[in-house]
Amino acid sequence: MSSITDLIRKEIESLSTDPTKTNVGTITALADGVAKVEGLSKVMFNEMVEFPNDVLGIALNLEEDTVGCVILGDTSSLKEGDEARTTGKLLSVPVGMELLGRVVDAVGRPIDGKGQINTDQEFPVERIAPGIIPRKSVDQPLQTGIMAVDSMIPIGRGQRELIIGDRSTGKTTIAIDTIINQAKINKQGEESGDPDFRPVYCIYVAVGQKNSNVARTIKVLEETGAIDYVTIVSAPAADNPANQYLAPYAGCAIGEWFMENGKDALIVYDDLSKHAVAYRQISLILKRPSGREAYPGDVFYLHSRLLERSARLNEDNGNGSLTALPIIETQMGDVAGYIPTNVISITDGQIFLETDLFNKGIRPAVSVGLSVSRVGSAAQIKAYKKVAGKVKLELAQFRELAAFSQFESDLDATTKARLDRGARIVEMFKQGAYNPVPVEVQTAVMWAMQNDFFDTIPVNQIAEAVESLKEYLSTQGTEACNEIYASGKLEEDTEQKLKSAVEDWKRTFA
Amino acid sequence: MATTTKTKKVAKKLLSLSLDEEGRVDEAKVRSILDSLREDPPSNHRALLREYQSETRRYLPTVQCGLEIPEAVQGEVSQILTGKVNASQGSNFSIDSSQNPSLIAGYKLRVGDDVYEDSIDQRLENLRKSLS
Repeated sequence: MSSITDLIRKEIESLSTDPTKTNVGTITALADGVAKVEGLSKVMFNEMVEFPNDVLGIALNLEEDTVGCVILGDTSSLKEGDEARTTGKLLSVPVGMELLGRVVDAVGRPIDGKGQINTDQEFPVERIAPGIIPRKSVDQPLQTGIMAVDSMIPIGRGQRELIIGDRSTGKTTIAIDTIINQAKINKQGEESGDPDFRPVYCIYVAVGQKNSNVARTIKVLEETGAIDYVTIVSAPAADNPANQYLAPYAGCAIGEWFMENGKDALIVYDDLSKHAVAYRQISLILKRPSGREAYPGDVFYLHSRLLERSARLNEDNGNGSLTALPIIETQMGDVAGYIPTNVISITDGQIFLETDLFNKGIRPAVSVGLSVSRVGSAAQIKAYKKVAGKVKLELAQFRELAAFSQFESDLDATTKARLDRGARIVEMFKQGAYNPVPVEVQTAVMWAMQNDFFDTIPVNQIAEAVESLKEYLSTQGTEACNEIYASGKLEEDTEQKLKSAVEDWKRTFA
Repeated sequence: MATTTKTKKVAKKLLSLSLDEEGRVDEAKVRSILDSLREDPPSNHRALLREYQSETRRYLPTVQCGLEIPEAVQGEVSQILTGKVNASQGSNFSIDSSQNPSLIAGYKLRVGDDVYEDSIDQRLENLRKSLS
């Protein structure tokens, strides 16, 4: 009993008894989650403003006579004439390792029912992106575990790679697969006790998603054991537009903490189309001038300042990185839309997913022609580069020839061979959801394909054969894979071991 | 109806006509302006009055500070406070004092948009926030 009273006494003693000075204003209008406040003459742009009943807002429009504040919470308790006061603080979110495994809202409050987040560190939601001097070129791979991506569109730590496609084409699945793969690699690395191992921590930002989808994603991450390395920032469709607008910046601030503390992090923005829509809604309510498709003039800056915060820092600045996988949903496959072109121009490449391929059963439905990674090849491991160097070209040639071959009845031998190889590569890249493949196994499978081990297998059995080989390499023929994992190279003796392993497998498969 | 730039300009002019030599809003001048507007109403009479009201509301805190205390203030205390405020703000302020028993003890002074407060009510509120 006395300890409780002592606790309260200490709290009272620690309270400041000095007079306080605050800058105040009065709500003159309130509509659609936006309050017009008269006064607040000393408010800063993006400063948190306190309203009655502990409701918070952000000052977004500083006009001559009034301040436009976006309310972050329940506006039903507010009314015209209520007092608003400045807090002197820019909107900040809690950061640190304590956030891993937690689900938070757009302002960093836990919403997973697991209690408070015990961290005393905070980062402002809006920050200036790292400049030129502290940056370094992308040179370390970030394995997605998806063969089609890791071989043809490799991603490096610190890169911004856009995932773009129509609705229901597997965009989120690629992002979740990547997160699951990071968790697998992290566990493997931690078990190995390698002091140089650098885990990748993940942040998944859900903007404007259905709550059921977010719940499903959390369930998948829990079932695969990846949740321990992930922080989820959720601003679902039912949340107010201000929270949806802020969520990616909050997630980015959480990721920046990892980067600035010499760690590697991956952030998924799912998705920025809905983010742009939320920002358009806020801008229209704030009566900002609208431009194309009613988006405000600074919609490019909205995404550029967010994505520029992803970077790879050099050794002098801790050697950390923040890799971004923004997602954009297109309408009817139109990549030339306003928001898609904006984000394409900001990022370092894109993974384009096609509805037609998805419907044909080619999953992940990666379009080889429209997908590109501008910087990732520098980060691809040497062994993989050696076996996957030509595959993108072969697949692109296959798609072109396949289109023309529909009109030709009699094809020459070279064309037939190319078509045959292409069909096998397409089958090889087929991969189930939430089942990432380790890079050394990918390399071995790709090596087997390039060395004609699949040529005698009928095309309709390739997917089955690939799965069988993956299983064999993970259980019996592990020696060659272990060497590839350890050195990242494909030396001659490793190739010999790989050859004998694949030959052994082929005998059992046949 | 949205207030036009012209209405805003006129409202600002009316406010400047309402001020005395020391820059304070003169009640007699305000009454006279309102009477003349009533006698000869302009086409945007309502909008103009609203804008005039908000201009005046914005202007008043810059020349008048509001003092809230739990009990009635004595004339001498008011003079001391006026002198202190004028010394710190560098202009000729008048004090509009009022009673606010909810403060329990202490004071709350509003100068422009700034609020200076040292009261028991505020300390209890700080305690509530720190414990929640």
